[in-house]
Amino acid sequence: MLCRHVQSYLDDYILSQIDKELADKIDNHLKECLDCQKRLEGNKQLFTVLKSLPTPDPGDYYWQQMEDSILAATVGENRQNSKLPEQAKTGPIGLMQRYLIPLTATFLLFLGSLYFANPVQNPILSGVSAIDSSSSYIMAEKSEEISDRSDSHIFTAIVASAPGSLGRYLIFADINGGTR
Amino acid sequence: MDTEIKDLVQRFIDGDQKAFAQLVGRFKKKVYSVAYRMLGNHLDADEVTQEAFVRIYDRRNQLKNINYFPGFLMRIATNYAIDLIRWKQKRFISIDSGPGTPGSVRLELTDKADKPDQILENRELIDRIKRAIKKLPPRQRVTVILHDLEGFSKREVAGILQCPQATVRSNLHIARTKLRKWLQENNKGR
Repeated sequence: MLCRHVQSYLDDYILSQIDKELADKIDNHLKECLDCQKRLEGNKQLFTVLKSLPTPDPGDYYWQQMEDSILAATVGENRQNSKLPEQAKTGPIGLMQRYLIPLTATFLLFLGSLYFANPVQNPILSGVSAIDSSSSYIMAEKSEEISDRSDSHIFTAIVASAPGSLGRYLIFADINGGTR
Repeated sequence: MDTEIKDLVQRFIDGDQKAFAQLVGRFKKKVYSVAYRMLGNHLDADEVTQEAFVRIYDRRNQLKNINYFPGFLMRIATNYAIDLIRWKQKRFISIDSGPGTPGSVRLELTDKADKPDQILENRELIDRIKRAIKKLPPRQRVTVILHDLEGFSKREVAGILQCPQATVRSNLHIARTKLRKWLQENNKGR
């Protein structure tokens, strides 16, 4: 083999990416040719340096953040733009998302408007006997009755007119833990 | 490509979002590694990686053969990275990012040396080769990174870069010759 032929295959020879027959020919040539031996050593150095380059690793926290961002931008996009698969659009979950949730929200809004339109007739408000305007607490005579109606740690909205004031107050009462 | 990944890719194409999440988990480090080596800083590598996955998600219907998924993903990432390099070059913004600058990532040497002078020498060598790689034109740079650093075969690189294997071979030869020359010049200059 000629030197220029050998040198054109040196990189593949180093990386073992040539067939055995050609590798044997190059071996034989290298035994006799000092120039190609020097070239081989020079080429090997580059691969050694390239292999020593570290693999970047920003850490587990970053990988998790990245994964979350990608999924938010792809899978999350489906949720926002309603680009759901056909099955999801026509199935029971799809129908619920399309009709039941908006209908329920509309119904609740309607009830809320009735409630705010007639605050005095509200049964919860009937349990409130007085409002201490100097503190943030609400005095309630029928507190037990109210507790029975509500689950623990659920805030109940009460609209009340404070004595001597013109405005109405929206009070959030924690049935178990007082008033906010 | 093993059967588990093939199954995930098929499910992903069929619209299974959990399968996509698993594919992100499997391939994110590889994509980030290639992007980081091409661009040289964390912020750009992060952008390329995220964008590559978002784009493959949008183009999943174009994936006719599930065996092409890794190549398809890598093609999207490298094309975006090349665009980013060219965009930055046009605007004369240096993509060099030394240690301690914003967006840089602390890197550990794979071959840890015990002596401080060896560590220093290793770091200098790594910095030199990184600078030399960044001096290469984008197509040669990505060819060297994919083949010599990331271990893709010439056939795979040709598939990723959408070019003949002869072009890959030629780009590798030119890039390595340049790298050797720059390294030798640098050695002489020290």
